[in-house]
Amino acid sequence: MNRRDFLKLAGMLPLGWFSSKVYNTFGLQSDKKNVIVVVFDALSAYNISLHGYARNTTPNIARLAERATIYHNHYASSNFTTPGTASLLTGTVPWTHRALKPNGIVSPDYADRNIFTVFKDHHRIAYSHNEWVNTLFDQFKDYIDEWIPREQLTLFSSDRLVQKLFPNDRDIASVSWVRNIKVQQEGYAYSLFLSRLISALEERYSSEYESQFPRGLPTARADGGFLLEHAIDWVVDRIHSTPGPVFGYFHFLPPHDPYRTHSEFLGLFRNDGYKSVDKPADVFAKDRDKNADLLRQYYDEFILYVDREFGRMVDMLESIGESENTILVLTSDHGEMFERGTAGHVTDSLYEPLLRIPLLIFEPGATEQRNIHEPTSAVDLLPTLAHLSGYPRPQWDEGILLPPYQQADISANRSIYAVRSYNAEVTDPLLQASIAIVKGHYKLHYYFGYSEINGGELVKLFDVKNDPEEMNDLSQLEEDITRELLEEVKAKIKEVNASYPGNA
Amino acid sequence: MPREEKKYYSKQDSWFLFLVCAFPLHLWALLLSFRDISWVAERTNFWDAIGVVSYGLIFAFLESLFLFPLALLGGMLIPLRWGRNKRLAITGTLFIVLAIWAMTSQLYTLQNWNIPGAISVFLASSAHPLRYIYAITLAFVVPSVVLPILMIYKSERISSIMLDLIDRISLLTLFYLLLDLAALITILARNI
Repeated sequence: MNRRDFLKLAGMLPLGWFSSKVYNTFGLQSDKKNVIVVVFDALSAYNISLHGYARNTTPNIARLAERATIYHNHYASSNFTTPGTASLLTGTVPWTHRALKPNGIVSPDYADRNIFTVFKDHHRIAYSHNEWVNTLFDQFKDYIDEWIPREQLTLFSSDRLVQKLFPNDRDIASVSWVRNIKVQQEGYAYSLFLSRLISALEERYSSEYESQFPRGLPTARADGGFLLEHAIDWVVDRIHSTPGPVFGYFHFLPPHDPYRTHSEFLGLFRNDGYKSVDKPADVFAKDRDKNADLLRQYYDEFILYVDREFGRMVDMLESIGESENTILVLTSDHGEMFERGTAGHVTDSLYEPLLRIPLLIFEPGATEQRNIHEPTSAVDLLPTLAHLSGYPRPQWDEGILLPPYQQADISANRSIYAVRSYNAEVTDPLLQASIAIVKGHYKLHYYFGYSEINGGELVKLFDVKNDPEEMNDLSQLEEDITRELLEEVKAKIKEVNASYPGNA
Repeated sequence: MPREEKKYYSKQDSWFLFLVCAFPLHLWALLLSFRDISWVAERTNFWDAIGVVSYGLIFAFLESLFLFPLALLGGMLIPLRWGRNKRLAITGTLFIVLAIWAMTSQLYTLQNWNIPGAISVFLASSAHPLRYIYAITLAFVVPSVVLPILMIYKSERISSIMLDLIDRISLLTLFYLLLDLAALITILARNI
């Protein structure tokens, strides 16, 4: 290129910039559709009637699913928010992205390998009620066009000031602020006098919603409470008002605890005759929770609220004509469990209720339901959405193109992993971890390094197709399969630890 | 009248009163935040647990700064002629009494205390349970406020015992203020 050519090219640059702005402004630039990923935190597929749960927790989702692709055996990549969400956002297994610990971040290698970098021609919007997800957004913020502050979709809260004062320590500053001030939540607070004053002011503001939420307002415990209705209305309005295609990742806290449903659903499952399967206490259960059945009822009633709001969102998108232009995804980051001595998801176990999550994809123009029963993984979502949006598949993701978008039979030899290593830093080797591998019918649990098992190993094998409640441990009966899966997991751990030797 | 009696508080008295105000606030914040260390450490890590304690201490310091002028103003209701020692003893004692009541109201939930059955039945059967609750509360709180004032006013010995006690408490508060300094450094380190 000579000097004249260079000057010609340089002269064209402003024109190129201008034309791209015009295209974006008038929505002319592409045939790309909106892609909206809605994540409901801790929504277990196990408690969804659409997936066979005895309580009718999702009547609206079932109605809408008549036109959706439903994945009936979809697995989260971990059993709590940080690694589970990082897998959704990077399309990789936790031992690869390395966001292993609570409120952790991914390895620097994945800071620019995430779903936002893939959807580069979309207007990318991100929102989360959950602060740990915002920590990940913070790492990816260079690739997010519009990162909505958490407090924008919450009710008035003194926490906003704390968030602004301590931007580099928002999680712990918020936790401490709650413990200092929110005397009404637990009945006690670090502050003896001002807690009463500030809480009274906040309660006065939120009292208009009290009758709608007799168990208290939904909250992430670091805010003045929020209404899912507000968030859903905002999302629909934002999609509608944004010119050009939108990629939106919206992470809403319900049905995560505290389980505070709307008055419309209060007590609907009380004394309804539901009987949970009695299962033996797990080795990691700290105290056998006597309230598990009551908490399950509260959780199930909270799902009804999620179901209503998701249904309302889809109906609104339809009524404003956006559903014809939008690929909508409903999923979760991990599940929730009310059995084996655990109520919630704070456990090292990896049983089905903790890992099986919903995945429904609503495509424009779909007229019938498609049911996928092969096991699939959260890491598959990124490559599939890239494919559906016409982007080249990233080189670095570890998922597959989900059926029915690929025709090949994936069920037999596919290994799906879920990983929990709660105390591991980004560069630490896995020395204490819980791993689940799902292959075909079988699911192997492998736990190692925990004091509960004297630092040793614990292996369990279940046929999850024929024994979805995981009642019969087959590790002694099916020795060949156990050995094969265990060797595969151990080889993988060895490979991963070779890359992250730490100080060992 | 001696010159110092014309002023309500000297600098030294104000400092003394500030330390008295800061004591129960810091003590309570420390007790509860130490109680939280284990779950915060389990939720994330020990450094975060230290962070929660640090924010708690700094908030207790700020709350002390906020309440101290109110205590000073309250102390001005006590007649000057009662003398410096009695005024300080009464103001400090009253603040501690109120703090104990505030702690008791939180301990009620913290320790899962229950109202005795007979009282619950009585309240439930009465036409105005809320009035009775206020009356019972006042029946406990008013004497706990009035009696110390009377005792300190009437007895030089009790006055000097209370002053001595408050003096020791304020010494302990100096240690808490050192912890506040460490907490401030911790918070700065976490936010850089």
